[in-house]
Amino acid sequence: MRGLQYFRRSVRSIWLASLVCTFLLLAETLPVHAQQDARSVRAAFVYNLTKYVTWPQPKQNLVIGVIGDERTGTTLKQMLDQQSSGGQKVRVLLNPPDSELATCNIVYISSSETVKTGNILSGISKMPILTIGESDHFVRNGGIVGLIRSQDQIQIEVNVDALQLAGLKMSSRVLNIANVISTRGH
Amino acid sequence: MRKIPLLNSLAGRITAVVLTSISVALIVFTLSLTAFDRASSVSQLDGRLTTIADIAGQNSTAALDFRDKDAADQILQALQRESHVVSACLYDASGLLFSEYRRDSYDAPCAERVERTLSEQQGYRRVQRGVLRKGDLVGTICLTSDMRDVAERERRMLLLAILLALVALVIGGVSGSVMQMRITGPIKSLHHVIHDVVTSESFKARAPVAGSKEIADLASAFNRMLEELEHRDEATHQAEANLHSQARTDALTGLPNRRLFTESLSQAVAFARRTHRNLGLLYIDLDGFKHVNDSLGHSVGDQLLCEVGKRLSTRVRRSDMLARVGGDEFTVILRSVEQMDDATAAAESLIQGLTHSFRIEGREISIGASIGISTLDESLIDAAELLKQADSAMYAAKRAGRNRAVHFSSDLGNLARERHALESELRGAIGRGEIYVQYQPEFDLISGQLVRFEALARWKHPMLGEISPVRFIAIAEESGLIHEIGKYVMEQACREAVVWQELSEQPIQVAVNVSAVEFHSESAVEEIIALLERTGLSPDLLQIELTESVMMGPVHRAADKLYKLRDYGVNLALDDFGTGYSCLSYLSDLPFHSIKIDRSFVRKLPGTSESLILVNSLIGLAHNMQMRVIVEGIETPKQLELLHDMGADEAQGFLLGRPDGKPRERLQPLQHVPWHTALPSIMRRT
Repeated sequence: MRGLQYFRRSVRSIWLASLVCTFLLLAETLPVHAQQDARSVRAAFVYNLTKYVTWPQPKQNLVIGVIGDERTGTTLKQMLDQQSSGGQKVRVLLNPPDSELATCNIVYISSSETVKTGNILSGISKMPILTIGESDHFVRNGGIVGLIRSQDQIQIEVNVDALQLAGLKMSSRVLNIANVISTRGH
Repeated sequence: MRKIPLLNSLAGRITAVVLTSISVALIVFTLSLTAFDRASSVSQLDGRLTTIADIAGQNSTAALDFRDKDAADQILQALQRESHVVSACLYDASGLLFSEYRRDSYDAPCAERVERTLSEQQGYRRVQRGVLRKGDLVGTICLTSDMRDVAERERRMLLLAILLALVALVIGGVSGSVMQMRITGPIKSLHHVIHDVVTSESFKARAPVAGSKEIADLASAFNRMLEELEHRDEATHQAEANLHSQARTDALTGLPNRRLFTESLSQAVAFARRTHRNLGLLYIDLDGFKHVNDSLGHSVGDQLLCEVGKRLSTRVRRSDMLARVGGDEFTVILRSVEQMDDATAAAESLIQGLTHSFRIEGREISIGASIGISTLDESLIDAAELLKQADSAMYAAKRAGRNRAVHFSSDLGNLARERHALESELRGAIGRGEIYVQYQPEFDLISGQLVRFEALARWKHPMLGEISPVRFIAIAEESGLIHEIGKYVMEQACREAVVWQELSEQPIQVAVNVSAVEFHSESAVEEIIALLERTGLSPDLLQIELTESVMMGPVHRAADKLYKLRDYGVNLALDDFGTGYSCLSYLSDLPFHSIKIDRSFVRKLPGTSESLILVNSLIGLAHNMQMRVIVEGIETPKQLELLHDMGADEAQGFLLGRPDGKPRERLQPLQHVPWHTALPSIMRRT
């Protein structure tokens, strides 16, 4: 019974994902004016990224820890929590305590947390945690993926060194379209 | 030969069928190969397009996910390397056109929405594939390719197929004509053989047994048929030849029959006419054959005919032709005859050839031949007339006393008519008292005494007067009247002789001529004996005179009769000795008391030394056989003297006494050789 329920949910979640994507894409076609639009796009990007990143020890749930302002957290939670990605259920934790960060697969750090970013990153940089940030410096500061707003688009930046350090693998397709940055040698 | 249109000939048909089937096969092959190749290259193109679309789609997933149009454009731009891809349209998950690539040469832009994508234009191929990221549909890619490669390949393929088809057609044509030659070659040679058979009208030809099994079988079957036909043909020819020869051969003797003889005679007459040569014809009738047939049966008669045929054949020249034209009648065509004598010589040779008796079924049979001779000479008679002449000559020979050859003369025709008239007159002549007997004396040359009278039949016709015995006796023999006449004469003679004995102190014999016809009659001997008893004449006073022709026929029968008569006491004399062709060998075995040398020998005396020697030899011969010699026809004292000197025993002739009806007058006193006319030598001897 549980299997069947899970299956039904999976089917439903696929539909949902499609709807979300459609929604997002529809939103994309429109000029991005509002911050909210940017947050939604970033949330969709995060969701999409989960499909291109491979964690060394996949678990049942894909836990996303969101550190930052409430609106970003809410948007992510609203859009991604309970979603399914590659058979994993997405769980969004809002501002989890540092102790729980280690259990996260993804740590999303919003631009409001610029100050704390360095500490957070240094704490988890060697863990298999995909760190995603919004600021221009996030990747250069040791973050793995930066979703940078550039004019009316969101630009993906990837720090391959940090990615490697974290022990994660990212699809080359993302790397193809991303702005790849290497901090080694800097 | 009738000209047959090429397509109607077997060769033409085979070639046509081979070429047509090859062409059809090649067309089908070419078309299906091309179609198949096209389908395969289209599907190959589709496969490639699909692969390209999938790769491009896969590469575009991130671009789609992250709405990176530049990246998507870049990915699609990479399709430039695929020269046949003219357009690529990338749609996002919602079906909106996201990125587009289009080659300059292609003027159809991508539809704005995926569902509006139209089907490809003519000459293009389109593939639409969903872009999947780990099973999730993130977009659609639509690739359009031109079909230049396919068309090019198709063109090349078609060219190659046509080339191959041409090669195959040439090979097919060559092998077809080879096959056709293999099939029709033997058929043609078969046809030639048939043609040869028809034109040569001979079944000798044989077809070569070659080619495929069926044709070889046909040829050998045909050969077997020819062999069969040849056999039948030979059999037919043989049968025809047999029939032809049967129709022209006498089954009994194997000699040519009347039919072949008639044909040959016509040819020979025509040939002789053309080449101005003479031609002789002998018509042979056997003497005494009827007697053989009647007394010994047809089987013996037939065998005798065979033997006679063989005997005659040995005396006929190769250029001449002996044929059997009837029961006992033979003919000889003498092709190389110069004059009449040649034909006579040939006829006498044949008669001579028959003098030796035949031995059939253990019996000795003697046979004679009467031969009629006719020659073509300068006359203009035809074959039929020549035959007629020979026939009448043969009858003349019969009349002349048988066993002789007579040449045709124009008189014979008249004689035959006269003879016919006489025959009817002769009938009843005895009854009318026209037949009477004359007696001619015969004398012993030692004692000079009259010892015998020869009774001679005479016919005094009331109108014609005296008819020569030579003529009417022959007629009597042929007509059978001789039996009556003979009996009459014999009875008269015997009765007369009985009277003589009373008048004379010496016994006086009477000589009676008995013809072969009479003698051969079954009861001849018995009748003579009966007559002697009836008349009371002592048998030793009767002398039966027989000619050599008596011996014609079964020798033993004649001999039996002769012995019977001799045993009874009757004297036997062989008349006309020397004229026939008798074989002397059996003469010594026969009980003749005396021989009578024919008057023809005496008439020549005293002629050449040859005739003297001949008569002398005859006398010597007779004496050697213990026979007395009677000489007839003595007309001069010289002849009498000569014959006396030669040792002749008895004599008869006009010199000594003509035949007359008053024999008794010579008995009182008994007449002697009229010495006054005889020469002193006779006197001396006595």
